[in-house]
Amino acid sequence: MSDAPPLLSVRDLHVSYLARSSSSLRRPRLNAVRGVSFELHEGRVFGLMGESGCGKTSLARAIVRLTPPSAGEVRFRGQDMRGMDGRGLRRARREIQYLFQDPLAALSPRRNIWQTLLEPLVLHRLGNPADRRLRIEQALATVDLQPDVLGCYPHELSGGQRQRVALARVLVAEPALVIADEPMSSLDVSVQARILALMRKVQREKGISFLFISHDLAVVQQLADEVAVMYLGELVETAPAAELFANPAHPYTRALLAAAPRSRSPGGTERLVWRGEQPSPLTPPPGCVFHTRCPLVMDRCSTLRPGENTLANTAAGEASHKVRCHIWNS
Amino acid sequence: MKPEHAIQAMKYEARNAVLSVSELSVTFPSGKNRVAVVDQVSLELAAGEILGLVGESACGKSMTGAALMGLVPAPPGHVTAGKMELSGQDLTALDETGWRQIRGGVMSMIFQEPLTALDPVFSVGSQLWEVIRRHQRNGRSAAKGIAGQLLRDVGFSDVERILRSYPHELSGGMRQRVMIAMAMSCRPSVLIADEPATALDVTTQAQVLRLIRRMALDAKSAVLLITHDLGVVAEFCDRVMVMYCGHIVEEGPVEVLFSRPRHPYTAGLLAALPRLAEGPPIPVRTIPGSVPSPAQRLVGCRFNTRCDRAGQRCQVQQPKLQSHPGAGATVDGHDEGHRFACHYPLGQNTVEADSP
Amino acid sequence: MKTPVHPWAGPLAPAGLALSPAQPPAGRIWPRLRNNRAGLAGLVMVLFFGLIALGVVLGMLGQDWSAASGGRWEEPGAAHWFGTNLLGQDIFQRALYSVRVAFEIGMVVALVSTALGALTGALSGWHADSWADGVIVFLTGVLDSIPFYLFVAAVAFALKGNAWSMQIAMVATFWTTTSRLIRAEVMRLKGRDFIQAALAMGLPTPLILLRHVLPNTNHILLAQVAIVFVAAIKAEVILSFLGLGVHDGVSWGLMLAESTQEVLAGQFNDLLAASLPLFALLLGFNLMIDALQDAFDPRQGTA
Repeated sequence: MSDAPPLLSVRDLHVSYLARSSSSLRRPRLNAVRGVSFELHEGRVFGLMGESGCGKTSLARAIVRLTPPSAGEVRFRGQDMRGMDGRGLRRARREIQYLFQDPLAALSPRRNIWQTLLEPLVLHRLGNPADRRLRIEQALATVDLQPDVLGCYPHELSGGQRQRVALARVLVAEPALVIADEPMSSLDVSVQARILALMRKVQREKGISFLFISHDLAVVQQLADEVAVMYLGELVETAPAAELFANPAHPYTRALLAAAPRSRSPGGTERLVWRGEQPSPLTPPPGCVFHTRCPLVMDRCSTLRPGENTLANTAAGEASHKVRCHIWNS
Repeated sequence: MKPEHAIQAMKYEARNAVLSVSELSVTFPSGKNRVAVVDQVSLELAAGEILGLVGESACGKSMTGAALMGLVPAPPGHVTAGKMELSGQDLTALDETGWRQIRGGVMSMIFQEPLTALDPVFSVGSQLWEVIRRHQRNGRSAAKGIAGQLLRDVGFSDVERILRSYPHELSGGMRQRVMIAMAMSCRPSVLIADEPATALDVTTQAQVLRLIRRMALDAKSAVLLITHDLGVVAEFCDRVMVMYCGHIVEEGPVEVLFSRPRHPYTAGLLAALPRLAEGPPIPVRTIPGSVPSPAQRLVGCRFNTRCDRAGQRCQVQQPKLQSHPGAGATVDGHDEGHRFACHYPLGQNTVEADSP
Repeated sequence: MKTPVHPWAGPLAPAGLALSPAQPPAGRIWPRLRNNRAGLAGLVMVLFFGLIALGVVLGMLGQDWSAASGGRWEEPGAAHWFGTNLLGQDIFQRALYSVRVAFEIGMVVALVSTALGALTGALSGWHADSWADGVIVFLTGVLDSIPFYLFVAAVAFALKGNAWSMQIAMVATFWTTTSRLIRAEVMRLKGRDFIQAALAMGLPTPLILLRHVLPNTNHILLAQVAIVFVAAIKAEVILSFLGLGVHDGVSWGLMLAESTQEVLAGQFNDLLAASLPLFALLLGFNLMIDALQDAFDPRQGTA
């Protein structure tokens, strides 16, 4: 790949916190993210997919330091975020923006849209007071909103309008990276398509990178250049998007693809029905995390944690296809 | 005529509606006026069939389900219906006591979030026994036996542990299975499932939906599956009704509606859905504009503000939901029961060209 | 089957796009208040009492409350509107002067204790599980466990001669409830996405508390102001009645204390002159605060 350092690089990141427990006084430690590494290059969209409770939100929050990671490092533009001084951190906070799942919850309920959009400009000292209104109106225009929403409160807007306001708030800060945590799942189908198109437009026109988190494979496929699949706190497979959807290597990825309602038309292939439930993240299985539900499970899977194998089937210049599974060892 | 089509046609002729409703409306006050959240909806449910009611949020689909269960908060809500009959019994005349005997017995409901529908302070077992004893007048030990059998039916192996556990100790999928067991405990004639799999992961979604289908078939229950997910409809429903702004805009057998949608809104929804592809991503199309609020009092077709086919007529005259025999119906009888409310339906010509 | 809590229990969610021209938030409060008749009535009542209190402070009203200007128990008439008491003092003048005392106690105690509660609650809720939180929680627990009247008596004794001893004692007891409520609310709000969004943006903590957290506790603060205002005035009446409250001056409580002897003699003027305005002020204040709570909440229907 290119010689420039990646915009964001995450190396062996661990996130854990004390979970609440009703039954015992000792609070168990929940290891939400366990040894995750990936790189995100400028102008690219990195899709992160997994089921609920797999740790994808914990990972995203650790990157913006909403929860401090317990181990590992996060580098932004080659610099370790932990070692950043006040100015560097403030700059990073502006350049990395977070887009939440539920825009109604993420917008301050007692502040109107004008106040909401002004806040990042004032905080990051962007523009002078005179041209701030212009900047805000430009951001609104980018997300197809009229300036008359400025006097409204979040609850007065529709779901799609709210998510566009949230996107506008992200854009006024002139970010280099947007971390979007399930930004579509609280929206209706017809609105989803619109937000999706908008995000693609913003991404192309402004060259903004996205870390796009979703449980919906079809949505990830719409946007992502590269995709990582997460299960119980680990990245089990990482590959360029086209490669991953055409040749999934990990049994979990395959099962996930098979479980999705692929054809969306009657008489299509029946969805795969899974055996068992996802184990609790409090007590992840030893060895390979997926072995309790894997159709191809072998003896060593339950004891030995598989290492990362790089598959040699990607074209030159593309990110490599990595998978954590014993099957690919031989 | 191919045999399966013959069966299909017979099925429609011999339709024996368990639940039949006509001109159901639900209104809520808005300022000085009343706004119809559900507007003149008619539907028939036959034993053993799964009818999908699909639409976007606030289109009135959940309110329809609530009205069928007598659960619309009144006041402020107000329900009117030309006819509402459950196996010959008139539901419009029921008072709260009457409804309570119907609910959970002959007619039951599954909610989107089982954690809020289950009582957190009682064990799963005691909640199950309560339902069984209330409606079947069984003794305590008999109820316990039935509860255990029900949990086995919904796929639990360690029944004893589940009976003793509390709702928060179970995973989302397990809770929804308990809800299904509870809803099916009295072998209801009608089951209303409001977004039963939406809160679940893809991997458990299919499991839960299949369970509903199997249990409903066993008990010969009619199912109304309320959902926003067209994928779910395609996979699990026999018939589907598409709802927009309180109106049913299109209705028909699933295969027909998905392959030959006639209403532009149905077609738009289908095109807006991201589909998983093995090759490069299939582009999605958006429906312009946004859903008008019920308070906007649109005249004519409710979809005319967002429809690219809308003409003058659409702004004045509200199209009726009706079947259009000949106008694009295929000869094989599949389009039996395909009805839509549109002045300028899609495929007026193309479909005719398709037919031999 | 247990009747499930179904999702439409609340008012119908406004799906509409109530688009209105850009407007500062303050501009919306008055129109909403104006449409609330009960609240408006409450506001008028409170303003009425406020004017009386102001008149007393400015020396225009109720200055002759202590002079024995008539005979014992004179009937109401032109000279003494509400009659006179046991000592021949004018009951109307005393009632007027008491308005000022009640207002002073109610306002001072309500504002100071709510502000103190908000500050400590926000601090301990935001930094939950820190040492500061521990100290505050411990303090509220200790103060709550001392019987109120005993505590007031102790403070009054300790601050012998201090004119504010009663107010100090009340503030010291009344802030704990607010603090506990605000602490819980702030802990809940801290986990909400919009606070997380502010944190992710890098907004400094004091600004987050001021702009995003405290405005969302308005409903609690206003309710607490109303509750404490009423509680303080009621407590004053009881304390004065017991001889622990107002020392120099007159208050509704002292008037009620006097009236106990008078009622036995068949004289109800003091009793009525103290209890009816007390009732009216408390009612008016409650109505006003209810309306303010609604008006400050942007989610309430716009007029």
